[in-house]
Amino acid sequence: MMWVDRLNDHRHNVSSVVSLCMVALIWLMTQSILPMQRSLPDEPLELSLLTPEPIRPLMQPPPPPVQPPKPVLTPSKPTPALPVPPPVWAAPSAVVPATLPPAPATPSEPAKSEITRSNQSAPAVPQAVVEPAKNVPPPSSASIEAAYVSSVRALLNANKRYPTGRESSLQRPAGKAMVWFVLNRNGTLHEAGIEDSSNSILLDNAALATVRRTSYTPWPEGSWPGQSQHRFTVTLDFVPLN
Amino acid sequence: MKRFKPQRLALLVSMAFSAPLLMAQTSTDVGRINVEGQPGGTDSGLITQEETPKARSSVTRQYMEKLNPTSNAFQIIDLLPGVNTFSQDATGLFGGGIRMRGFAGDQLGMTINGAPVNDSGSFSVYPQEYTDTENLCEVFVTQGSTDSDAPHVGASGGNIGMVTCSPKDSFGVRASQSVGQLNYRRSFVRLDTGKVGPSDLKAFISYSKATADKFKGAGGADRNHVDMAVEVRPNADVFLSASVLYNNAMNNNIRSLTNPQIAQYGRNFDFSTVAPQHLTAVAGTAQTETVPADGFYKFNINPFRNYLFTSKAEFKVNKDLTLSAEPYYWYGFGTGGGQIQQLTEGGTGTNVTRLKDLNGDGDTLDKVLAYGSSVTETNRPGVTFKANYRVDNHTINAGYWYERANHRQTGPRVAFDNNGNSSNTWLDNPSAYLLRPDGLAYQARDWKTISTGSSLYAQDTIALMNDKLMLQIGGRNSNIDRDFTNYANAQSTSATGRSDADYNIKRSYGKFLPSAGVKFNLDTQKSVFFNVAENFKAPGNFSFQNLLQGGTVVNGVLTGATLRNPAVGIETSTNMDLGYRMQTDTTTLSGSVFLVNYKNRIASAFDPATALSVDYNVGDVTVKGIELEAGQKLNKNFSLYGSMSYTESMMKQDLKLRASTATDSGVEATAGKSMPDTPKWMAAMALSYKEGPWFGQLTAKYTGKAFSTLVNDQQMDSYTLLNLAAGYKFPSTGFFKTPEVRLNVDNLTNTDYQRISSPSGSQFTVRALPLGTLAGSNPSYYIGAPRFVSVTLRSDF
Repeated sequence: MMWVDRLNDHRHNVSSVVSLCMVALIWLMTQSILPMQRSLPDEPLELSLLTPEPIRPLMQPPPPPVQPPKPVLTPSKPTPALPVPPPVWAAPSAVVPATLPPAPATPSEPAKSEITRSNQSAPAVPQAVVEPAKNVPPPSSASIEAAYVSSVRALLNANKRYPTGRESSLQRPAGKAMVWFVLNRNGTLHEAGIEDSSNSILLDNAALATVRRTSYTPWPEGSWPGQSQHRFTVTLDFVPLN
Repeated sequence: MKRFKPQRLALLVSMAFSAPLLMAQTSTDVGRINVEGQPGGTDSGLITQEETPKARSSVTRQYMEKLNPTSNAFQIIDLLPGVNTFSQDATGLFGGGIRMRGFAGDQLGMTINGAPVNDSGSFSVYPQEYTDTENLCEVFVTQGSTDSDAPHVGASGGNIGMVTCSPKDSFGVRASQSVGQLNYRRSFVRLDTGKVGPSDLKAFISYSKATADKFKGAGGADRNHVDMAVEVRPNADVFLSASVLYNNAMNNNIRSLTNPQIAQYGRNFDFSTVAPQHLTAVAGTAQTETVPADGFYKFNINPFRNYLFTSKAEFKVNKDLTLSAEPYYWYGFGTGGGQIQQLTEGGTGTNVTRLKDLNGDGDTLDKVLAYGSSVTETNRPGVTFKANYRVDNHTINAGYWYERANHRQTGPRVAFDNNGNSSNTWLDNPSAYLLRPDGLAYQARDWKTISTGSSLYAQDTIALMNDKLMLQIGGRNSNIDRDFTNYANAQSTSATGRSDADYNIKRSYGKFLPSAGVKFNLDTQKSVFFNVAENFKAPGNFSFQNLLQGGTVVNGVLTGATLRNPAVGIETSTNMDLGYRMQTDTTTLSGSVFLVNYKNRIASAFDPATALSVDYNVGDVTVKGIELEAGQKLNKNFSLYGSMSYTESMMKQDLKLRASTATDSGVEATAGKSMPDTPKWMAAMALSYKEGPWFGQLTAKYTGKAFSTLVNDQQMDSYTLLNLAAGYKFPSTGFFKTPEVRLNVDNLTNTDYQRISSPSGSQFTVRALPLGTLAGSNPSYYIGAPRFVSVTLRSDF
């Protein structure tokens, strides 16, 4: 066990080296902390008063795709009877093939532009999302509002705090506080208050503080038409760590 | 002048009334958000997202669950900024010391569930007496400014709070078993009733037994502990809770050593294992039994039992007003220090100093060894009444704390045999006490102190600018009345201070202590804060000992003595913090610069009025520095915590110890020197890991060099301690729910270090080395415990 003795002889150096390594690690970390972007927790949305309509697609579903033309062939005719994949509405990037098929050697004929565009874009559907068809109807205000409510919720989630301080540490309160707040169209907070008390002043204050400290984004176009202010409510359910 | 148009007014009024209706019709519910604990940056359990406008840190269960389960409160907060602690051994069963920003444990207020647990006489704290870590949910530290609503009259340097967990909502049993080096064994079991009945009553009770050998020398620790708690909520507006902790410990002391002793005998030198032997008694011969130089380990023990009852009754008057009453009761009994005492039979002084024939040889000519030390028994009931009131943007906390501590301190002696067994180890059986010639028990100390503490406080927290700005203004008027009775005893019979006659002295100490804090949120993640608060500490009751002077003994009774006026007053401190915090979902950072003006430090010094060296207010100290802490969630597996403290302390005055003579000024040059035991640099790191069933934690604490004497002529070297915890959670099977096994390695690299015993006041060693006519005295050090390995198995049922 010579190595144990040798290690023991150098234990002070070892502990110093390990400490230095940890200090270096935290320094490196601080370098990575500085540019860190705030990320918003993505918790499941719970809506009780508002039942949003299903979000309509921003584009028409593409026609049934056909097999892409073989790159080396002249695209004289579209091949009609081919297996039809399920329609793609708004394909996430994950479905994009890692390698795109090579572009056709010659462009498609203008008369067949719809099909040809579809053929070309089938492996890269997001392009179609970026360039919606001109005749797509605008999204409904309900869906825009639902998206905004979702973003408000995410912002509140990012700014929530369980109360701290001596009294909070001693009480470790639990309860639900419902807060009402009114936002202006530009996203500024007009007013806020307690709708339904948690039975704890500490929690009510923490809930109000969460709503007040949050910076909200302006309302998107088309939401709550005709209103310059809108009233929201949110319930914060506080549970101490046990 | 414009013409008044009633139509416009009608329109305005109708709009005003209809607006809420319209508003209500268009209200949108954002949904429910769970606020459970703290986000990722706090994953280590060593940092929380503080909102308070003062320096404050806390430790949560996430960290405590990975520690050795016998860890005491000081070990739990060791990594926090500004905290300088040591433990006498790795298990934490033997206790330890603490210092924050230069202030020792007896200058810090300590509470459990809001009830004060500092010794009511000396303000000392004994961390090994308190709750089991499994039942602890949080330990928080306020580094400089004692909280306005904290029940303290001895906290000049901040406060520490321990909070036990509530009983669980569902029925369950938890059991754990730990084994380790040094015959370490610990068994723990806890039963939770879960919610029962219409009032959701829930309760738990736990029991633990822990034993371990000392890492050097013979002897060990034996601790039995019970925690229980109950909560009930009869309706939404009433909440009742109560808890009891009971601790019974029997420890052998770990011997502290001076540097020359370490050099001569080594670091593992400890008390002797050879029992002191009585001489064969011979009638008519003056015999002298001498105290063995290295003592005897069985007669260096610290038996102590204590319990603490805390309770709370909270009433919600309306949504803006809550009232509560929080009664508590502390009881403690025990002894400590070295128990081998040499007693002299007979005597010519006052009756209380004389002894009967102890060895039974028929004469009173002998000096005989006996077993005994100071015994303390405390009965300490108290209550805090609180009111929390919210009006507009103000949240007002006001309250009143009151307690009456009966502190009985005696010094009985009992016999022991040649096998090293005393006739009454706990010194709690008066029939075993050695007697004086008048048939009463001999007492080397006999005091009763009634300490009545009270504090009236109010604090207003004002939210401004949509909660961007928080102002906190508070004040407390804290008082303590000391009613000290000295029953004639044998402690001291010198002409300059004696205690062999009864006397009573009453003193009151009090001060109004204002505090103010402000916090400004720079944005949703960053804030700055500033705080200033005054703290105070009353003198300990030991300042009232040996107050008699002069007098003569006539027929065994002291006559003509005068009572000295204790000149010592309160010590105060003004603490200022200027800090910055950043809180994101992955990062939590907090830092502050601080300045403490510490005034009228109490220490043993020369009092020119009485020409005696007694407890005295010796001067001022400034302490300033920086404290930083940060928690970072690196990814889903790793979290990192780091803290750093830089502390600069300086005593401002020299210390006059004696009257001046032609060759001795009696002055020690302490002006400009650093406070002992206050390292300039400390740093700590904790890297925690979890991946599926695996979890682990590596911590490191660097403690810079610090002086061990007031004149800074001896120092303790810097050192770094590494502790490791690693564990695995098994899948539930059969009766076992989430069983886990955990390995703990303390002092991983087996680092050598040594610490003085976190002294304060007159406990400091003034000078280690002689200088001219100034005598030196080597300070004693606790030896750092070596590497210690333990394994814990735990499961729920």
